[in-house]
Amino acid sequence: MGPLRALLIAFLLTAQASAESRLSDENAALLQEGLVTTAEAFVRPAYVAQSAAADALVEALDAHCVAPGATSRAASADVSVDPSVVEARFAGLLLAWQRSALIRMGPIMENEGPMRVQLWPDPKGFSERAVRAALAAEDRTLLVPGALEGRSIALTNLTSLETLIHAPLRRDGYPCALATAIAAFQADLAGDLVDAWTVGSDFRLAFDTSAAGNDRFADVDAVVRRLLAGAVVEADRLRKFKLLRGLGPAPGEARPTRTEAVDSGVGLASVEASFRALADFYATPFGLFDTAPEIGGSMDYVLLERAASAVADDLAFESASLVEIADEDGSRAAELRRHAESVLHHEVFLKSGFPSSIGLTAGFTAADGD
Amino acid sequence: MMTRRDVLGRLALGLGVLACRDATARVADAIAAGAADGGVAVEKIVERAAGRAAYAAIETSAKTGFSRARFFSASGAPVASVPLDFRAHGMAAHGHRLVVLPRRPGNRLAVVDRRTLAILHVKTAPPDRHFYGHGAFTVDGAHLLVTENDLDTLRGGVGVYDTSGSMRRVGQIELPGSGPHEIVRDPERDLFHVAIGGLETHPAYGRTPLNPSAFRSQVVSLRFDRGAVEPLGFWAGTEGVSLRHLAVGAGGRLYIGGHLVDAERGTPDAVLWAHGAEGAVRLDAGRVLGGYVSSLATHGEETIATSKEAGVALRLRADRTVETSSLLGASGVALGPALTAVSGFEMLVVNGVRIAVSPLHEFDNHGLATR
Repeated sequence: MGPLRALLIAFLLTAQASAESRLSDENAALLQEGLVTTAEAFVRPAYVAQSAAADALVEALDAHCVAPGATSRAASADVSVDPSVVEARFAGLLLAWQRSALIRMGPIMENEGPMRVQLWPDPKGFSERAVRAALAAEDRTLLVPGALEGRSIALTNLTSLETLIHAPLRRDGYPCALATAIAAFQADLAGDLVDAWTVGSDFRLAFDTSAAGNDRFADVDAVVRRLLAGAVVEADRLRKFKLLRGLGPAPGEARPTRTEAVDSGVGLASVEASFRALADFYATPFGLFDTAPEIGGSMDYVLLERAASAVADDLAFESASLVEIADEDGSRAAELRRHAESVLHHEVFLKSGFPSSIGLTAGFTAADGD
Repeated sequence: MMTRRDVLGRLALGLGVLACRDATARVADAIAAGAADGGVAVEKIVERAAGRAAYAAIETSAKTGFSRARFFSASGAPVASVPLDFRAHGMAAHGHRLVVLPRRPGNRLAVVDRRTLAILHVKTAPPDRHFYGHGAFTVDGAHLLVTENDLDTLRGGVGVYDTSGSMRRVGQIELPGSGPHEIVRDPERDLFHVAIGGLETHPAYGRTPLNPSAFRSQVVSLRFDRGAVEPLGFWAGTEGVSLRHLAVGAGGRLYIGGHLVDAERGTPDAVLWAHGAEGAVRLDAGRVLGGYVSSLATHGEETIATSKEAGVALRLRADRTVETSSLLGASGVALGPALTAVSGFEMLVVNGVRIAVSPLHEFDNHGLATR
């Protein structure tokens, strides 16, 4: 036996049985229950809300938009044609997505992932260019139901929809019809996510039985790892992009036009929604975090939930927009920068504090590939 | 004049540094403090320690997201560590220089003196570029080639650095595709191979690929003396798979690992390939890698392929699996004369010796044999 082979065998023997679940069957079952509860009480409802918001926007656009020369359908619809309704319902959809966005595992990660819903930040202006090109071409085939499937995400995402709706949106003409088509695409997408997270779907079956191992999830550890890794990525986005991209890291470095949702004015509400999502993710009764203390899981989630809730509550009472706050770059901006700093505590908890408390390795170095 | 107490104090300081803390900073402080014999003694301790290093691992902090290069002897004893202020990925070494490259989309790399473990230089990519995590030296060590992203076109390239002096960037080579990842060199000549992952990314959009449904990945060879890029072709069966990692085996046989990005077009089985005189061959061993290859290493007839996704390390001989082992987060790997090292998230195994990761850290994607 050569020396290399001996060394390899020694390595292999010592490394054996290190990759199976580190949890006892009982603990794995407990975590599985917590995960199922989180799926039922947080994840699926978030997608349901997103889907409902998208449907409501489609309804508003259907009522608002008329084909040239056609009688307004609004006469028989139960909604106002006031464009502010369309704008409000767009805001509702954008904010509903901020809650779902905390989940970065499962069906949302297929194809281009979360960018299918919202391509932001978009410093290269892909969305704006896609909208301009579409308006210039006035391609009627894009308006056929289902036609946007497979089209560039730059055109079909919420950033493009925001551009169209806040152009402002005339009732007749191609832009209104295109906005309706994009809203319908988003509604279909959200509906698919609801279906995928509904008990009985292939994905839910794999998710709910991960403790026993299956083709999609080797064990419950894998589910916990992916769920937390996704939450870390979104928390990082909250800090780096939603807060600091526009505010800058220090006074004097704010750039208001770099904040999120400038046209629709809901940038600060989006930040609030993200903190609220974090809080509710932790606080889901009998969910993953609530269940974990039974097996030694860290209780830090209680404090982090309260901290995130407090930030969200504070932001709910703010009357200035994120653009205005960034523009002023005063005490409110400084406070938001501190909120950004506080997100790091969430990241560390999700990356290592919580996983290690339940005997899991986070695998945070694998969170988003190499 | 130095007293015996001063000399002993400095020697103790040096030993303490090697045992617990960042050798580089403390040694620098001690040497800068002036006393010739005490400083020289500490310097010799560091050099002896550095000389024992057989493997370099990357350890990343959960708290800061920054990495450090940790050095281990062939018997698995920790030798020293070099802290960094970025998340590290791959490494390359020639002579006394060890280059640590950042994880995409980092734009700063560090050049470490392997004799003293001092950071010699930190180089920043041009404003319109970032690094992709891998680099390779020419045979004579006079140049370092580093994979890069052109942020305007999102096309891949190779930055060329003159390693004399402060390591000056002297040129760039365009590549026929986006998302180049690992670059490796034939052991005996300046023939390089680059895995072009095919994915367009831009830091402003995070790390998510912008073209996952349309990309195509390939491997190219690069003759440095001519600056000539020779594609090895698009291989049937690699659709939807981003080819990212490489190792050069016996006779120049190339081993290629990728990961499945688009399940609509590809399968998780198609992530491990070999390329030789017969062309490209998909290796059956890839079936157990969970659609993801973390790292590859070869020595002689042996190859090890790791997968964080599957938590396995495969040992191959003549393209066939001869051993499979489980290791949570299996990633960094190195093979060399009398060296086998594989790391997972929490454990590194060097020649059979298990080494636990530091608290609140994980071992990261790659490692390097340093002898």
